[in-house]
Amino acid sequence: MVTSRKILLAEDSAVLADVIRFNLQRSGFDVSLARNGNEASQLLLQQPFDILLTDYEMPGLNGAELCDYARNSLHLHSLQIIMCTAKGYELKREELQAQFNIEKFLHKPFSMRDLTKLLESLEFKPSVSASKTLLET
Amino acid sequence: MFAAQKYRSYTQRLSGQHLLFGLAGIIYFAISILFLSRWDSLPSLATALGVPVGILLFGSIAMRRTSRWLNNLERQLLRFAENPNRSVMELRPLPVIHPLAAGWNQLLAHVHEHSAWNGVERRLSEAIHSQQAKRWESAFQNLTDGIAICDSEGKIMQLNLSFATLLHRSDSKCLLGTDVLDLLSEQVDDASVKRIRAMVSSHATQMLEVQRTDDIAQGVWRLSRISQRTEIGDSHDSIWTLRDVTQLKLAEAAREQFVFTATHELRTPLANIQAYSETLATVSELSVEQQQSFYNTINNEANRLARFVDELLNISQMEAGAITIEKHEVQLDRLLNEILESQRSLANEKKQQFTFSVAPKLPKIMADKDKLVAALSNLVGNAVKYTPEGGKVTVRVDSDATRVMFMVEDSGIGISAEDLPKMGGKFFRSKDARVQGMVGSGLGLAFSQEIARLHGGSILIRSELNQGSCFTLELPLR
Repeated sequence: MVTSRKILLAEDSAVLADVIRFNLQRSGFDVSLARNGNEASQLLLQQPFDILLTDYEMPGLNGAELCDYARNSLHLHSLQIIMCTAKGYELKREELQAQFNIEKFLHKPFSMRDLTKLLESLEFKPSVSASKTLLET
Repeated sequence: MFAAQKYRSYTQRLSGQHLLFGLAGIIYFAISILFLSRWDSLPSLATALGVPVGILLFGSIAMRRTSRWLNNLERQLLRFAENPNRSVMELRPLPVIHPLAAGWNQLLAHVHEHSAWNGVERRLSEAIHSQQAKRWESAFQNLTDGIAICDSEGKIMQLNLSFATLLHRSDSKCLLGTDVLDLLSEQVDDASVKRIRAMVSSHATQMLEVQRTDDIAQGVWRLSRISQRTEIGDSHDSIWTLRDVTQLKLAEAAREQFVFTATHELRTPLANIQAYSETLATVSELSVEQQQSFYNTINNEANRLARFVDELLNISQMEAGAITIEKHEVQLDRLLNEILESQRSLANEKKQQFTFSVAPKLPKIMADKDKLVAALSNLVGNAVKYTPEGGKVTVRVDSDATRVMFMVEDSGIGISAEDLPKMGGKFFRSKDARVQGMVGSGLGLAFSQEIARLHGGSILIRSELNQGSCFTLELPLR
């Protein structure tokens, strides 16, 4: 049996989070939902995830802070990160992408089909839990 | 000069005549001696001596009188020739005993008249010039831009009041002779000092914008340096101008912030509309209930988008000063219901205690219903937005003999004493992280205040940081 890939969806807008989760589950992903950055950081600490799909602007930790936490505090280097945002050019996209090794930036509004295709196209990397990486370091 | 020489030779000729008279006297005297030797009588001798002596005496007196005014004329002409401008008024007329003197006097009258006119003209032109200089000086001093003129070593030779004021100095005179680079460097951070110092390296005109600190509100200057060659030698003076562009920069930053906010506000409902409509179109196995819920979501998001577009239009109208109101009789209870219905869903979503209390008998008021609904919706919307989950939002409406009061009270994040006076400023948003984390244009309250003002009313704000706020919109009854 093929285990479905685990996605952590961090999105503060319940309306958008619901429809994304609906579409991703339909495509066979295992989706956990966090309503803000702090909730997402807790989930990352507790469970292993393959992919982090996060919004940039969120109450609590924002998207960049969440990535910083995942990469530099939890040492989740194999976690694949997709970031989406409603912000424009004021967000230093390339800098963030390089700094946190972000796979792709999505600008709202984006198509559900494109999102699903993008997630399916990501190379499979076995997920590592934060507890393991923390032990290693 | 040529005319003066001519006069000189003429007076020399006159001295020749003098000699001629003397010679004639001597010849006459010799002849008389000759006769004397023949006649040998005393009366004849007396006659022979007396007549020539008398003639000589008379001639000499006459000649002396003539030569005195001639000498006078000569001296004056020489003085006139040496400096025709300055000695004109020192020239004197001569007693008229000769046509030459009369001619001189006539000439002098013309010269004096001409010179008097010249004097009037000169004084007039001096007065005009000094008035122009005063006007220039006054303009220079009163320019809003600071200007300083420095010598080749950068020492200030001249400066206006604004230059001193922009450098936070009250006395401009005490800055004379100081080094302009030192003065400017005192006012800005290290990075800007380097950039300013680099301006001096060439004679080309240069312009620079410098921030006094990282915070643009602390001051931004537009600085320019023009180099100009002096009349002496190969040195260059420099003219420094200083303009305070802080307000301009703040407005630019606010406008930019507004564009970012507006973009975000447009993208968010659009993202929802696209996601839901796409899902409806592509997923066939949706239940009727799911479909219904998706359609509702799309409808709500479209409404949100429409409201935002309305807000943008209101703002642009307000910016242009083009908001007008049309007053009609308004039923307050109906108006209030409309406002509360529009805000209740978000308050419920945030599990807030949303209460509403209205005095039993409210008067009818004359107002522009749509604009008033928009203004009050802003206030209630803000209260819900800036009050955390589980908080309290209360709307109360009361009236007295002269006014009706809409009070929107919340248990939200509150406003700091520092921010309170800035509330209602266009594009103003607090730097509080809890405000920055929320979407907002910084124009809603400004719009509500404008609507209150157009109705002859006002908005009063009471607030304490972390305790909550109360916004009261008051409208006069008459």
